[in-house]
Amino acid sequence: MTEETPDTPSLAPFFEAAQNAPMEPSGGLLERIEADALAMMPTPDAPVAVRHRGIFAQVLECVGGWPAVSGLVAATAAGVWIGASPSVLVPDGVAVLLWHEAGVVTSDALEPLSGFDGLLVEG
Amino acid sequence: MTVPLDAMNDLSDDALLVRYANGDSEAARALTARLTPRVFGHAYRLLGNRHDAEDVTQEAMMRLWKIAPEWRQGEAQVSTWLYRVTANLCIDRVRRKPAQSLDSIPDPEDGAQSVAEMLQNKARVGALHAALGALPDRQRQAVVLRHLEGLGNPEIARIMNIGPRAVESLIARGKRALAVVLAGRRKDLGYTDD
Repeated sequence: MTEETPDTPSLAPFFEAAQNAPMEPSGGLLERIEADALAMMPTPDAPVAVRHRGIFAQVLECVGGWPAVSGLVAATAAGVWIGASPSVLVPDGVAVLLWHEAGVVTSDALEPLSGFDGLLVEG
Repeated sequence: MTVPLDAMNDLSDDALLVRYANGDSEAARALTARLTPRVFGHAYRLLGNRHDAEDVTQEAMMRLWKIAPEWRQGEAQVSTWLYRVTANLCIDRVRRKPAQSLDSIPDPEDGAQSVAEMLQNKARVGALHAALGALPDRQRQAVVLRHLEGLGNPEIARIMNIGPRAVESLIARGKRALAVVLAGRRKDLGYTDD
């Protein structure tokens, strides 16, 4: 097994002595390793622990997860914004209520068509 | 299903590891009995110290138990993987410890030999271990795998994750360095230059 070369003529007896030296692990080591093996052995049939989810996680799942929640939040924000600062083409609900109370409700205020639609109808 | 320990002798390391991963305690015992001496021998030859070699052996085997559920049968040899893990653990341990002098290397234990022979062999093995300890890590690993474990160059190349020519180079350089260190001790250790 050991090739003798001009550079290494003296190693064979050392390798031979090392190969023949007993190299047995102690009984204690074997016992420890076997104990480790049994302790770490996977148990495929072991029941998997059931994890209870919180109420928030359950609600999240009901509405369709985070993407659905982000859509809901965006729609809500848009609704609030439109309600708080309506464009001129959208009837102002708050003003309608106020004028109605003050008795100055005009037909325009209750006009189901928007101002732009009205222009189109009237030509 | 559990197979008796004797019947496990015909199974490959791979097959035993898969059985272990499926909860077969006899496979655990068979692997322990089969692989521990090999891992311990390799660690001992790299470290030259029984206590450290036992620690490394236990750690290497623990890593094997840990990886068992993910082991893919036929992809790699268990022994190749273990030699690699053992060598890496040994190298880590050697790097953490200060260098030892030749006299501080404990002699290996021996059994049924005459006292004179036993002492001489102890001295020879101790000297070789000390000289191996003075080599760079990769040279020591290659020389031990080739000349003490008896592995072929292709297997060593797989273990060390290098090419066969690099293995040859490491072994040649390692042996030259060993020859220089041990040359002065041949007469002390009972060898004659014939």
